[in-house]
Amino acid sequence: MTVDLSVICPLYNEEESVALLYESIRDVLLTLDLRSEIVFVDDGSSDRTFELASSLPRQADNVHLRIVKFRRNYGQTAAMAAGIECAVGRVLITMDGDLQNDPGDIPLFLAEIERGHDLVVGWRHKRQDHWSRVLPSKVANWLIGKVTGVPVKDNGCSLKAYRADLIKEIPLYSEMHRFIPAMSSLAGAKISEIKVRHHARRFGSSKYGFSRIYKVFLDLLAIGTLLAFNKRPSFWLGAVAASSLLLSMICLVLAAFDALGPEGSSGILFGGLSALFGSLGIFLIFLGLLTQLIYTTTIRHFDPVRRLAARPVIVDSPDDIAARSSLSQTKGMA
Amino acid sequence: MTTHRTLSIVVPVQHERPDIADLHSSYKKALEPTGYTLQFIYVVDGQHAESLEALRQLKRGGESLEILAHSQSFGEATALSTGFRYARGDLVMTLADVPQVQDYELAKLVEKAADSDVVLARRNPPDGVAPGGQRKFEYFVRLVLGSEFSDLRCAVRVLSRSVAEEITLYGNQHHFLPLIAQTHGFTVEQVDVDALRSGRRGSSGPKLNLVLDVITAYFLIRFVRKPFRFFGGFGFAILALGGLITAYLVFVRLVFDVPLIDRPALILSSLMVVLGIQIISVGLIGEIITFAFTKEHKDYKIERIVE
Repeated sequence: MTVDLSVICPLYNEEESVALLYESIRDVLLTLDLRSEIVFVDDGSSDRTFELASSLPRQADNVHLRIVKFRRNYGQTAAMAAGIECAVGRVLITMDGDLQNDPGDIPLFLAEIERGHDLVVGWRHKRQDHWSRVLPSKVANWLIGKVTGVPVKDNGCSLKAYRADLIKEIPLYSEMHRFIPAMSSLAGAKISEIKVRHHARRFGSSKYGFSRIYKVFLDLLAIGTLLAFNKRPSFWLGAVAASSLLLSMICLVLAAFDALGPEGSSGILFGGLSALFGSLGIFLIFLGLLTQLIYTTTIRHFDPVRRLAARPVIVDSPDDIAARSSLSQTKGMA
Repeated sequence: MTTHRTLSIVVPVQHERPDIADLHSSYKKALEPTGYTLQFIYVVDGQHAESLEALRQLKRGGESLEILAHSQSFGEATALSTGFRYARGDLVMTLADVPQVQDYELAKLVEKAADSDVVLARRNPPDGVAPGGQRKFEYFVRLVLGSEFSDLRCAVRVLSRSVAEEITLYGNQHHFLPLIAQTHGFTVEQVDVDALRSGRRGSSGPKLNLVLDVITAYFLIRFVRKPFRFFGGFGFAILALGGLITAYLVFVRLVFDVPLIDRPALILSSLMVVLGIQIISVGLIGEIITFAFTKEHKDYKIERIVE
C-alpha cells in the first residue's frame, strides 16, 4: 500500500493544541482524494501531549495517524528528521505543531510539488509576531540567501513540502532545519516558494525563541563550507592559504627593504610576520590535503545527494508531447 | 516481582586477582535474594593470567559465568562495552573487581532500578576524599559539565537494558556514563550506600588524564553534533581579538607615527590571528566529518512509535 502524502508535525508541550491540530489537518486531508498519513513527533514533552495524541483515532477514512516518541527533548531539527525518517509518503509536508501554520495551505503545496518542484517553501508574508522576532529573522534570511546562493525569503517557516526521496537523503542535524533549502540545493533541487497564511499563537508561549545571532552566523559558515566542499573539496583553504602566503611574501619584501635601508629599523619585525604567515599558509595547505583525504573516504556519503542531482535531460519528440498531454487530461493528479 | 527476569553482571577485571573466587561468591550471595536469574560476565582486560586462571578454575568448578578476555588492555570503558554486548539481562549491573560497597547494598540498588534507567551508587563514607572534604574529580566535573553527581568514579551501577545497548563507551568514559545517559534522555538516580574501605583504589591514574577526559567528555556531550559552534566560537574570539589589536597598532603607526619596532605586540596579535584561522579551519573540517556521518550516527533516539 503506497501512501501519497505524509504531514509531519513536531510537538513539544502542545497539550492544548494537539487535538485541534489533528482535526484541522485531518479535515483538510479528507477533502483530498489521497491516501495520507499524519506523523506526530513528540519531542520529549513534559506535559500530556503524548497521552492526548495517543488517544486520537489511528485511522480515519484514508488518513492514518502515526506518533513517534522521543525519550527527551532533542529540538525541532531532530524531531523533523525523525518524522521524515518514519514517514512513508511520496510527498512529505512539515509544519509547526503550534497552529501557527494553516493546514488549509496543504493543497497549494501539493499542487506545487505535482508541478515538478522538489521542495516548496512557505513564506509567512504577513507574520503575526512581534517585530523583535521578525527583524532578526529577516536579516538572517537575507544573509542565508547571500551565503548559500539560495534566496529563500523565509527559511524559518516550518511549512514546507518535499519530494520524499530527496529529503530523505539530506542529512539533518544540529539546528539545520533552517537550512533545508540550502542543503537541498546540494542535490540540485527545484525550489518553489509560496505565500502562506500565518496565525499568531493561540496557546502557550513561543518555544523556539530566536537563537542568538552568533549561532546562525556559525551555522551559516559551516553550511557555506559544506556546500562548497561538496562541489570542490579544497576550495576555501586554498584561497586562505594563498592570501596568507602572499602576505608572507609582502612582509618578506618589507623586511628585506628595511634591512637594506639606512636605519634598518623594523626588519626583524617584518621577518617574524613573514615567517608567521608563511607557516599559516603551509599549515592550511596540509589541512587542505586532509580534507581531500576525508572527501575520498566519505565520498559514499555524498553519493546519494549527487545521484539526486543528476537527472536525465529528456528531449521530447512532438509525438511524445501530444501523447502526454492527452494522458494527463485523463489521469488528473497522479 | 515478575518471574525469570535476568540480571547481567558485568565485571571488568583490571588487575591480577587470584582471589576472584571469593569476590564472585560474595557478589552472588548478595544478589541471589533479588530473585533475578543471574548472568555473570567477567571481562579480563589485558594480560592478567592469574585472574584468568582463577576464573577458569571457578568455571570448571561448575559456576555459571562467562569469561571474556581482551588480548591487550583497552581500559575499563571498553571492557564494559564488551560485556554489554554479551549481556542478555533486562537489567545490567556493573561492578568493580575490587569490592567498593558493602555486599548488603547491592540488592537494594537492583530494587531501585525499577524507578529509573540508571542507578548510581554514592559511597558513604566517600572514598578518596581530599582533605578539604570535596572530591576533586567530581568538583572539577561539576565545574566544567555542571553535573550533580557526587561519586562518578564508583563502579557500582545498575542500568536498564536500553542504556547498555544504546551507549557506547571507550577510553575512560565509564566515569561519565551517568552524564552520557542523561544526555540521551535516560533518568539517573543516585543512591547512598555504605562504602567498603578497599585501600586499593583512590588515585587511579595520573591527574592530567582525568583533566583531559573531562574536557573530552565536555566536547563530546555538548558539541559532537555541532562541532563548529565549539571551534568557531573559540576561533572567532581569538581572531577578533588579534584583528582588533593589529588594527589598533597599525592605526597608531599610521596616525601617530609610533614606530612598530617598539611594539612586539604586533607579533603577538598576528599570532592570534593565525591561531584563530587555524582553529576555525579545524572546526570546519570537524563539521564536514559530522555532516558526512549524520546518517550513521543519528542525533536522536526514538523511544517508540505508535501506529
